[in-house]
Amino acid sequence: MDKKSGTVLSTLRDIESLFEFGGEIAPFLEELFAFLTDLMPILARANRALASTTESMPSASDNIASAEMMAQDATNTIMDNADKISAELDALIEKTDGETQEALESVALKINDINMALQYQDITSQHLQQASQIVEAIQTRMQKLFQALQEIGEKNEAIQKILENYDAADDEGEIDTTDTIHRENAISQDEIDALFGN
Amino acid sequence: MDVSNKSVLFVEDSPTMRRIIANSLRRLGFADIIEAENGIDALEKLEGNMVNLVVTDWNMPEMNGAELVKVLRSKPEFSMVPIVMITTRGMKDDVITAMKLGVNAYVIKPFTPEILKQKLDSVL
Repeated sequence: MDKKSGTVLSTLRDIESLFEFGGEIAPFLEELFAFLTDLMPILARANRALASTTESMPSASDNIASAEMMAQDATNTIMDNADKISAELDALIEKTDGETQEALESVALKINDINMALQYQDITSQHLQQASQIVEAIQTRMQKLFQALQEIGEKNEAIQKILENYDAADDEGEIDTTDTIHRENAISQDEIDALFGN
Repeated sequence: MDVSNKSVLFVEDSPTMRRIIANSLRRLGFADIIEAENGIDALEKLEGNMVNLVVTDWNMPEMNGAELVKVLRSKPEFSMVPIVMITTRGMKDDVITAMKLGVNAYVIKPFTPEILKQKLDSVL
């Protein structure tokens, strides 16, 4: 066999194997398309939920920051008073002896336990900050993902049709994301009293 | 152990934890207590000062506890000063990292006064 014929045969074998590969991959592509068809409405719904979340409420991190501030204030009040009680107890302990002194020392230890338990404020705050970062990262990535899919949809009639049809569908069971506890723009007690006239 | 003649620098960004640790150290008998809010602040406060003990948090802004330990261990004058890390980071890898950096004792938050005393006694 000459060199030229060998090359032609080799090329034909390559083409043949490509067809075999194509035959194997075709069902996979079909499945992938079916999967994407199912996935698009879910993503559309997720994106609308994300969009409404972003528009209708302050970010999760704002709420967490607000909660942290309130917890910090409350913790400071407890610690300030615990410190004052401890100082008064220490002064009393020096002036007393016997059973009274022991009883006062026992109370001082309990006050210290209260102080130590307030570590929860810092630890909870760290957990909340971490959760907030995760939520924000997921939100950002989902928005980017959907934006990319929308761009694909603009070029693909079938996907565009799925998205349009789904946009018209009802949204039963969506999570209420209305912010009811955020304090930044909350009405003050004075304003409430003025409204009630008391 | 009498620690009334020993000085301690503790580094913690949370105001609540700073108060709790300061109270705990005072109750344990430390009279000379220096507070810092992060690693950078700690290094500034250590300039020209020597301490017998460093107690530090890990997660802090600007310079965290691990970075601070690395810097301190690179300075000859602080290479032998005991360092205790008090942190919420409770993964085994974190503890190993801290050990490799040169931390002498590791306390997980929340801690009790007894645990703190035990760890400080073990390094002083």
